[in-house]
Amino acid sequence: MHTPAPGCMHPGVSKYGYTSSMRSAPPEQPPAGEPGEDEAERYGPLIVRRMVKEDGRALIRFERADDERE
Amino acid sequence: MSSRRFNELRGEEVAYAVARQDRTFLPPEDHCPLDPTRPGGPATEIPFPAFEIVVFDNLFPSFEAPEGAAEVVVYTDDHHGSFAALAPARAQALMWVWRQRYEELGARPDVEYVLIFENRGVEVGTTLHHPHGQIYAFPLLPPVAALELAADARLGGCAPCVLLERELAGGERVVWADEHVAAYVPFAARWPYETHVVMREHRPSLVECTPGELDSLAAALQAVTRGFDRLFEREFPYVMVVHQAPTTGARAGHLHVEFYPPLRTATKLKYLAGCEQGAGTFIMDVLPEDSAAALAEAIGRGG
Repeated sequence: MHTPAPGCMHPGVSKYGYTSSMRSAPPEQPPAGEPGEDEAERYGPLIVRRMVKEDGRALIRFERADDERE
Repeated sequence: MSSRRFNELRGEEVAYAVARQDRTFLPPEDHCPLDPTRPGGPATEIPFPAFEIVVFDNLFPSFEAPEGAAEVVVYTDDHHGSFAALAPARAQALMWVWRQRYEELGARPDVEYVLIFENRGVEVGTTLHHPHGQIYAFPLLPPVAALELAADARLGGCAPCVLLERELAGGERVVWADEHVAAYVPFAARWPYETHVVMREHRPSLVECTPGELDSLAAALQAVTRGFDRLFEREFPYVMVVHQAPTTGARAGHLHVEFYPPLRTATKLKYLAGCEQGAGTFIMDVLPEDSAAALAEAIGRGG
C-alpha cells in the first residue's frame, strides 16, 4: 500500500507524482519464478526475467549468470 | 498520450508529453521510486527487495506504443551509487542490457531509432538522484542522427571512423585508449569537457560488438566518468548519449558515446544563451586541447 508522502495533495497522490495504483506493492507481485513472470531467458552473460506490473507496464530484471554480488 | 508537431521553421519534430509536467521531482531519499521495495517500506517502481539491473516502462513517457517507447534503466539497487562507482562487472553487464534493449526495441516496426542516455545531476535536469539512465525508442529519425548520416556523406565514408583516425594521429586530445576503444575531447567540442568514446573498429551498434569490445567500452566510460568526478573534486554533471545506427534502413552509423558536461569550472556552468540558441553557434571559453589535458590528468590520477 502506498504510504502518502508529507504534503500529500489528496488521498492516494503524493506530491512526488505517484498514486497507489501507479505503484506496485510487493505482496501483489509474484516473486521471481512464480506465475506472472515469464521463464528466464539468456542474453549473452545475462539472465533476463520479464513481468508485467499491476498497472500494465513492463518490467525486465537483468542478472549476471555468474552472479557475484559486489 | 504524447503527440508530435512539425516545426516548419526549424524543420524538426517537437514532442509533447504533457503528463510529464507532473512527474516525480527530486523526492527525498525515503520516497525514491527507483529504490527496491524493502519489507515494511513504501512500495516503489521495483517490487523486489534487491536487484542488479532493472528496466521498466517510464511512468511519464515521452514516446509510447504504438509510436515508440520510453524506458527507465536502473543501474543498481544502491541509492547512493553512480555509473562511475559501479563495480566493473556491473558496468559490463549494463553494456549487455543496453544491447538487448537496442536490439529488441529496434526490431519493432514503429521504432526507427533507439536513444540510450543518462542525465546526471540537477544541472542537466535529472529529477531522480538514484543512478539510472533512460531509453527513448523514436518513431522517427531524430535530427542529430540525421546530421551524423549527413556527416558520413560529407566525409565520403563513416564520419566517426575518419574523425577517430585524425584524433589518434594527433593524439593531443586523447584522454583514454585501449585496444578496442579510444576517448577524446573532439577537435570542435561544443562543451568545455565534451568527450567522445569511440569504438576503434567500425561497429554500427552494440549488437555487432564482441564481448571484449563491450568490456572495453564499459571500462572507457567508467574511466571518463571517474575522471570527470576527480577533475573538480565534485560530482560532475553530464549528459551521456549512446550513438548507434538507426534501426531501419541501411546499417549506417558507428557506435560511440558522447558526453556533454555543462561545467566550465568547478562552480560555473556553460549556458546555451543567445548565440547558441538564436544562431546555433557555440561560443567556447576553453580550447579542447586544454580541457583534454586536464581531463587526461584527472583520469590518470585514478591509476
